[in-house]
Amino acid sequence: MKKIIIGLVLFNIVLAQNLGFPSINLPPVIDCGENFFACLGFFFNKILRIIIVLALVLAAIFIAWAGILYISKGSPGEKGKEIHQKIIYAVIGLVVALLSYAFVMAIETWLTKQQIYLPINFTYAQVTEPELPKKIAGCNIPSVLESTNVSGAAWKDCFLYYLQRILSLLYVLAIFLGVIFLSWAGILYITKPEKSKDIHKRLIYGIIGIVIAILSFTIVKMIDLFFTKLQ
Amino acid sequence: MIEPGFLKLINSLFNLIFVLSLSLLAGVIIYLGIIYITSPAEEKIKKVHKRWGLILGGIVLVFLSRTIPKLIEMFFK
Repeated sequence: MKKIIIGLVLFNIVLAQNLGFPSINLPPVIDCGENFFACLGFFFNKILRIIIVLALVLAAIFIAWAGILYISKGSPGEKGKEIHQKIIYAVIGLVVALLSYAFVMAIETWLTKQQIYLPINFTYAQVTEPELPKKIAGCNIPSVLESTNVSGAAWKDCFLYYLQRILSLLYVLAIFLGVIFLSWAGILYITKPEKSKDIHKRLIYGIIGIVIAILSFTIVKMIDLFFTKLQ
Repeated sequence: MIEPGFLKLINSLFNLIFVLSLSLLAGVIIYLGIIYITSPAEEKIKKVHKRWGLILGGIVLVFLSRTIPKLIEMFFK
C-alpha cells in the first residue's frame, strides 16, 4: 500500500518537473468563498475528492490483482476463498468510500429535518454560521486608543457570538472528520480485507461519533429542558 | 445592605458561568464524537465510555448549583 502511494507521488513529481522555482512570488491566495465555513468546506471537498479518487484507483488495482490471482492460482480451496474475499471487500470499500458523504448528510438530514418515525422534531440542531448580534450592530471591536460609545452589553454579546462560532467550528470539523474517516474505512476495506473485523468496529464507532456530534446541541437543550421546564 | 448593582453583577457572573458550562458541555460532547470517529483503539474508547458518567455528574452539579440557592432561600422564607 505504502509502496503504491510513494510510487504515485514520485510519478507525479517527475511529471511536474519544470523550469525555475515555483515559489519565488508571494504565496497564492486561493479563492475559497466569502466566509470561513465556506472556505473550510472548499478544502474539505478537495480532500474528500482525493480520498475518493484514491479509493477508486485502489479498488481497480485490487480487483485486477484478484483477477490475476484467479488466472494464476485459481483453486476452489483456501486460496479461492481469499481471492473471493479480496473482491468482495474491494467492492464494499469502494461503496463505503463513495457513499460516505451522502451517508453523513443523510444522518444529519434525518436527525435534524425529518420527522420520520419520531414524534419529536429535532430542530434544535446546530446552525453552522451563527448570526452577528444585531443589537450592537455586529462585533466591530474598536481600537483601544479610540474613544468609543459601545454599550456595556457588547462584550457579552460578542463573547457569546465567538463562543458559538467556536462550537460551530468544532461541529463542522466533527462532520468533516466523520466523512473522511468513513471514506478512509472504505480504503482500508479495499487494502486490508483480512482486518475486516477491526474496520467494522471503526465504522460503527465512526457512525456513533457522527450521531453524537450531530445531536450535541440537542442533548444540551434536552438537559436544559429537563431541569428548567418542570411542567 | 448589599447594593443592587453589586447583586446584579453577581447574578450576571453566575449566568455567564452557567452559559459557559453549557457551551463547554456541547463542546465536550462534540469532542467525544470526534474521538469516537478518529480512534479505533479499544482503550481510548473505554476511557470515553467512562467519561460519559463524569459528564453526567458534572451536568447535574451545574444545574443543581442554580437550584440550591433558591432552595435555601425558600427554606428561610
